Amino acid sequence: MNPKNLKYHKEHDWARIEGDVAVLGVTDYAQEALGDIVYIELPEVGTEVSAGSTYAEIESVKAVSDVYAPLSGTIVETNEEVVDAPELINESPYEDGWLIKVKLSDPAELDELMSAEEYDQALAELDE
Amino acid sequence: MTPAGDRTERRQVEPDDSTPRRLPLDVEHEQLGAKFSPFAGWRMPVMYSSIIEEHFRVRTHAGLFDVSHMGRFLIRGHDALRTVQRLVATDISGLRSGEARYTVLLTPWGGIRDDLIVYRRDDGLLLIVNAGPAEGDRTWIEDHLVGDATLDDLTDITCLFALQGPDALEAITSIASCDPSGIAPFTFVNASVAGVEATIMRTGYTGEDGVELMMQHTDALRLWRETLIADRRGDIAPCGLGARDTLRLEAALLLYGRDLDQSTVPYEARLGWLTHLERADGSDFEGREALLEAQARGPSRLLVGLATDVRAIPRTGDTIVVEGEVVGEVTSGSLSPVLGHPIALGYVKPEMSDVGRTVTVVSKSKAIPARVVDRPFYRRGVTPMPKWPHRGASTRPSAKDDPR
Repeated sequence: MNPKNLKYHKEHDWARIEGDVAVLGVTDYAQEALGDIVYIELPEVGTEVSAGSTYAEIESVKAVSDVYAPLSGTIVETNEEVVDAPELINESPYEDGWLIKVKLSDPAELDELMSAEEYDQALAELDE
Repeated sequence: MTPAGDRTERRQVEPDDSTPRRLPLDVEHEQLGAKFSPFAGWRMPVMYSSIIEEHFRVRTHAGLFDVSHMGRFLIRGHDALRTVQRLVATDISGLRSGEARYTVLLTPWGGIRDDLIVYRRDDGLLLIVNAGPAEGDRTWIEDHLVGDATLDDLTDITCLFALQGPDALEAITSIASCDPSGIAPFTFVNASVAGVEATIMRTGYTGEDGVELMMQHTDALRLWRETLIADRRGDIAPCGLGARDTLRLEAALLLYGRDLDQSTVPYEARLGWLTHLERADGSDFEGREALLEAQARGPSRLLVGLATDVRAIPRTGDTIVVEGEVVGEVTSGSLSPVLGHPIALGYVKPEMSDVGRTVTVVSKSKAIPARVVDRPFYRRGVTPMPKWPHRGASTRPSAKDDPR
């Protein structure tokens, strides 16, 4: 169910590696749990994010939730389309609904993340 | 992703050792695809498809809610009216059988113990109260029974549904042994609905026209299923607590536990209109002395409606600031699906409560510019309805393809 080419963090965030840059977003499970997303504020380009720390808040009709960075680095690009139309995260969490691109400062952190199979397994355990 | 500040179901982020009570139709809701959340000690359906979609369903057609978690007490005996008169702030001595009245139960200090609707039946007075304070209400009422009055708790042996929306009245009366003209707002009738004995009450909590239905729990599944298809067009959808919350907020209806609690005096919540200090029968009631004093003193805070132009949502507990000074607190906030921007209710110092005043709502991480606006935010038949649905609706479950 979750794309094979991505890496996953236990707080339901994903990373797609493109050279020394990672594209980050929240998983399908996260958007489903949040329900209708109505607002997101992203940090500015140049901001440092660190693995396991929050870098944004997502608001759905239901609640406010923190978004965690799965990897450390410096933000090189943010998705302005998502800021204008937060429902993109619901509609396309792995493609149009990406949040930020980060230039990685510690690629070794990649080893800490889950594969799609491991993340599917973690979700299955959540459902039990 | 973790909840940073939950609004709809604050309890879901707190550990709770007790197993929540299940609605009699728990399995049916599960089969309809409901997502559940604990609320006031119950496992409740929060949504079936999406909160916004269910919201618009109620505003444009009709939605069916299972609200059987609400407390239902029947006060009977010759002294039933005398008992309830002593406990509610409103003079209900003129209420005739078949009529209902919104009112509040007060503490001796004039705080709101609960808000409720009293239905006068032939066999007594039915009180429908909020789920959270229900146990406390019951003890409070039992301690104040007068003469031969008795309290029967009907919560476990009945179910309560709300069918709300412009199509609701016509849909329900099309399968009932009564006609719509027989049920004026805030009245109720007993009728056979799809072969089930039920009470149809023209009351609700959405700002939309509609009815509430009460029946024996053994008949509930049949009535639920028949009501969902009562319009024969498939436009009625099951709706959860999430949409119930956004709907009531647009209508600026207060939520107990958020906008009202035991520290709220009715005047602060602008509920002075339902307090009758001098009654036709000269009766006294719990909290009356305190209300007289509160009236003389004047309110120290007042309920206001807030709106923002940015999409950041004021949430429960955020502070309201004017020129650097804290002047109040947000008690409820959400996106208004119909208006397309966030709305909130809160309390501010009376001198800051005038419509048009600009304020700042401050949460842990942001400052949101907002202004005091008229309540309700949404007026049925007046507020223009945006086009909806604009995405995704056809792929989501509806009454048309429910799995039974």
